[in-house]
Amino acid sequence: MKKILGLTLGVMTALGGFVDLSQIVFTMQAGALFGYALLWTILFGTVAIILYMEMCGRVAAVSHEPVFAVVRTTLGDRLGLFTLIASNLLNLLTCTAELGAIGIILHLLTGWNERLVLILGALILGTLVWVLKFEWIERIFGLWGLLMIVFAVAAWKLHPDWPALATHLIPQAPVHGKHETFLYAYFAVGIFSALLMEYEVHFYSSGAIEEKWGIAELSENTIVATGGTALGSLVTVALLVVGVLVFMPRGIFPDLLSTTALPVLVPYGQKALLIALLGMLAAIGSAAIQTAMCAGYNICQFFRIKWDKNLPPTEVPIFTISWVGTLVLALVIALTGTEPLKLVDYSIILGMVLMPFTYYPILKASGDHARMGKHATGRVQQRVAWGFFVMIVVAAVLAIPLMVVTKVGQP
Amino acid sequence: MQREELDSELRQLKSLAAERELFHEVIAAGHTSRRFVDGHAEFLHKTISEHAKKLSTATAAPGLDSLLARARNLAAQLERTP
Repeated sequence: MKKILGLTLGVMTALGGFVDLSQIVFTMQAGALFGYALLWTILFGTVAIILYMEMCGRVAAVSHEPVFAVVRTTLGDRLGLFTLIASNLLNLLTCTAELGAIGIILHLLTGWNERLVLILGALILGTLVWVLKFEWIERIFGLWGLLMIVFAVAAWKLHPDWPALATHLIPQAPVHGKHETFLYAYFAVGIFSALLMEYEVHFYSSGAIEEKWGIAELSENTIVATGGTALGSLVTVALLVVGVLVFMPRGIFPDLLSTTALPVLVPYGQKALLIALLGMLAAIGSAAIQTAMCAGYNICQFFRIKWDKNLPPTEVPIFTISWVGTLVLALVIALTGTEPLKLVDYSIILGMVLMPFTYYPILKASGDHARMGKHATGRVQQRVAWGFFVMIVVAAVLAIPLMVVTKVGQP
Repeated sequence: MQREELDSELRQLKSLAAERELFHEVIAAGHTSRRFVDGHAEFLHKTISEHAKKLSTATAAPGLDSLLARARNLAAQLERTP
C-alpha cells in the first residue's frame, strides 16, 4: 500500500511539474496559428522525454552516475566542459525568464509593483530551496502544479473537435506560403524543444541520486517517467486546444503571459482565472527552482564535487553558491526589464541546439552492458531512442536558422 | 521596412485589437477580477505603445508608404482606445 501511495505521489508530482513557461507560451501560440496541426509534435516530444527521463533514471539507479558525470566520461573534458558552460548559460537564461514571469503573475494577482513582487517571489523561492529537503521541494511544487489541470477542464468544456485532434497526431504540412511554412517548422521545433527542456530531466536524475535509488527503484522509475510525463503532456495538449478554440477564431496571437490565462475565463470565469494563475505560478516557480538547482548539480557532477540538497548548505558550498548565484544573477537580469516571453524563445532554441550533447551520452550509457549489466536498456528501447536521437539532431540543426528566418517566431 | 515586416506588424496589431475585444467581452460578462483587469490592460497598452513607437520612426521600402500609414493609423487608433 505504501509503495502504491509513493508511486501515485511520484506520478502526480511528475504530472504537476511537467509544464513550464515555454510550454504554456509555445503550445498556445501554435494552436492559435495552426489549429491542431502541430499536435503531433506534442506526441513526439512526449515519447522523446519519456525515453530520455527513463534512461537518466535508469543510469542513476544502476550505476549511480548523474547526467553530467556521464557527459564528461562520454564526451571528454573539452567537449564536456563546453556542454557544461552552455547548459548553465541556458539554465541562467531560463531561470531569468521564469523569474520575470513570476513577477508578471504576482503583479496580476496582487496589483503590487511588478519589480517588488519579482524580488519577493525570488526571495520566497530561494528560502524554500534553502530550507526544504529535496523530496519536499519536488512534492510541494509538483502537487501545487496540478492546478494547471484547470486548462484541461477548460479545453474539455470548450468542446474540441475530437476527430481533428486524432487526425493531427500524424505529422501533416497544412500550410501554404514560404513564411507560414518556416513558421510552422519553427513552432514544431519549439514545441518539441519545450517538452524536452533538459533541466527537467537533469533534475529528475539528480533527484534519483538524492533519494538514493537503486535497482529496486527501476520499476518506479519506469512508471513515474512514463505515467507522470504522459499525463503531464495532456495538460500541454489542453493548452494547444484552448489556443485553437479561443484564440484562433478571433485571430489572436497570444504574445503576453496574461493573455494565456484568458482561455479559462471564457467558460468558467473568475475562480478558474485564480486557479489558472496559481497553477502557472507553481509551474513557473518550479521551473525557476529547477534551473537554479541544476546549475549547481551540473557543476558539481562534472567536477566530481560533493553535492546533496539534503545536507546543510555549508557542507556543500560549491553546490550552494552555484544555485544561489544563478538565482541572484537571474533576478538581477530580470530586474533590468527583459521580457520573459522573448527570453524563453531564445532559451527554447538554445535548449534544442544543446540537447544532442546530453542526450547522446545518456543514450550510450544506458545501453552499455559493461556499465549497466543486465539492467541496460533493451534492444527495442535503444533502437527507438536512437531514432529520436536522429530527430533531435535534425531539430537542433534547424533551430537557429528557423529562428533567424522567422524573426523569432513573429506571425 | 520591407513588405514582410509590415505585414507582420499589421497582423500583430490586428491580433491586439481582437484581443482587446475579447478582453472587453470577458469584463462585460463580469468574469474577471479588478486586479487582473488593471494588470492585463497595462500590459496590453504597453505592447501597443511599443508597436506605435516602432512604426512612428520606421521608413517604408519604396512603394510601401500606404501600408506603413495603415499600420501607423491602426496603432494610433489602438493607443487612443481605452
